[in-house]
Amino acid sequence: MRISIIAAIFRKDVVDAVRDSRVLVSLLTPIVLAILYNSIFPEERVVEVKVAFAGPENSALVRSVEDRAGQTVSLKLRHVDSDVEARHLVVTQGVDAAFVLPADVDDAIRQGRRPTITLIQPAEGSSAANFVSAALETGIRALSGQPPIATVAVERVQAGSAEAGVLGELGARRYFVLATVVMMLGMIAVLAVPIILTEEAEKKTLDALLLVANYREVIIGKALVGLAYSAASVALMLALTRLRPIDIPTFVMGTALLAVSLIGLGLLLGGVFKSAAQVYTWSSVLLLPIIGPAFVAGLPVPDALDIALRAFPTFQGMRVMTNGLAGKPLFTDIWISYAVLLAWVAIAYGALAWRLGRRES
Amino acid sequence: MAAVEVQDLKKHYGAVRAVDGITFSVAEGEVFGLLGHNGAGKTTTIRMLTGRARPTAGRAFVAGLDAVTDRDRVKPLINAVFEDPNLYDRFAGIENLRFFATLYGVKASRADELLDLVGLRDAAKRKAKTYSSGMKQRLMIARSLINSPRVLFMDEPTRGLDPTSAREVRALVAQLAREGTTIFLTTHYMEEADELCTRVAFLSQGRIVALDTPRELKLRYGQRTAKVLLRDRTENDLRLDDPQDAAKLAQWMRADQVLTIHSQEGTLEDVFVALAGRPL
Repeated sequence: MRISIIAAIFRKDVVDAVRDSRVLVSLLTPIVLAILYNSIFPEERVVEVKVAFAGPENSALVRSVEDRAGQTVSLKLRHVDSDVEARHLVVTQGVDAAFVLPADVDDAIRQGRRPTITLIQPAEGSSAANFVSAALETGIRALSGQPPIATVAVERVQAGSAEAGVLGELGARRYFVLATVVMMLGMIAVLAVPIILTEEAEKKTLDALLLVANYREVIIGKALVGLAYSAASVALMLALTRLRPIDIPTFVMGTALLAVSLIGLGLLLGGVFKSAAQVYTWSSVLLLPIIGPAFVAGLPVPDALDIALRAFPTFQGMRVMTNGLAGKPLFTDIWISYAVLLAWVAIAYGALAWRLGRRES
Repeated sequence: MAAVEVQDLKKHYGAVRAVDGITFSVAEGEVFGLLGHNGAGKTTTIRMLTGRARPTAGRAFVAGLDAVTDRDRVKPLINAVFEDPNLYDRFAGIENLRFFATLYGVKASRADELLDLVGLRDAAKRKAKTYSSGMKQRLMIARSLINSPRVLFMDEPTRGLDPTSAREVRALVAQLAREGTTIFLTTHYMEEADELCTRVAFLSQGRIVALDTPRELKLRYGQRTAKVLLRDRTENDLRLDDPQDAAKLAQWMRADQVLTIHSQEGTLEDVFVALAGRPL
């Protein structure tokens, strides 16, 4: 196997593929769809709170307010020079609430000198002020060394089905945008990759290529094109839709395994079809069962269907990527997902190697 | 050492015997023609010699290397011009050549040299899909020379070309032959084979039915004829090997009735008809 030949084929196809309108459509359609989902589904779980404060910027209380915001509150914290300015911002609705800290507030609390912290809120009250009040109280307790008077144990129970819980946890926007990421991987693998392979055979450029390269080098070159487009498109889509995976290794692993397995399937399809037009027609039909499972992976479905869908790489890929995106195991038994994805990789590339062996003989 | 040596080569697709035990050799610098009907096995033979199909039986050597077991070592020494235009349409002419220059590990400047050679310098930056058939064929010839092959396989290089383009392609082939490239040519056009080839083999149903120089084949299988114009302006075609026609000619000569005589040797077309039973 010659790296220089694989690299030359890869470079040629990267350029050639984007000049092909059919490949371009397969790359752009999911991106457009993701942007659409991104705009039509609000981010339900994030509340935007604008707060101003006066006093020491490096106070532990300021940090406690920031920490409490976590992922559920989008906190815009703004430091001002005086309580007058803070009050003015609340009055003019420049912020939702404001607080004023004495100069030595942290030491005063630690020493039990009972300093006064002023919370400024609109006359009618506001959820932002409630949030700041709760955050400051927690911070004051921590600074003073007081143990909590009681412990509030949070118990999460399953309301409805588990899948509804996943959708609820992740939010519709992130869930459906993630599903379009899987859709894009599917379209690159099942539409773009077979087209660039089939077109070589259809236009007989493969004959010229095989005078210098062998089948394996050609196939690897095409697979790398698919992987490069997948990586670039996923990165672009995440950037455009502001999706930030929290557990990046899990997200990358799920994306990579899914892309590799789907590209293997795409290369197999490329060997079956005789023309790029055939690929375009039939791959569009095949896309539904390939992409569909990704969209329902986190939705309530009948048990029998759920069991059937578990065999699909996109279903399992979506599960791993969801966990990576959320940064916590929204789907349990994720090793099964890895096992199914690895099995698909083995099946696809095993079949491909078998076909190549037959061609070369 | 022969440039190409083929020993009892066979390629069967199930019950179909595409190539059925052919044996021949091609000397270095020779222009060797393989002639035959569609489906006679010409393209399959080239596919086996260029490592794109594995023979069912027999052996083939190219530049002294086994075309099957030494396939990867044979590849840099050969190249091919294909029957149908197979260029990257969305790439410019120069891009097509530079891609193959990269594959073969030769300098990109070789692409420019070859565009000059085939007269496509002015169209270098035009996309290949905008080229005429003749230009595409010339670009394919340029591509086939990118690695300066020792053996060049040309499968129907003038098929579908207008007479001017075909003549240009034949001139290029003749030039390559003069420069010492071994050329393995398949063609339907007997005049082309006659003009270019040092030896030709006739392939019929996967078997070689005749192999020799065009002149020897024409002498052996062709009919010697003469076109005789008499003083009364009548034209007569005579077969010189026919005793009755020979006697008739002698009689006209004695009577001083002959105005002109044009001797006509047999053509490769005649040879092919004689061997294969039907014209190409």
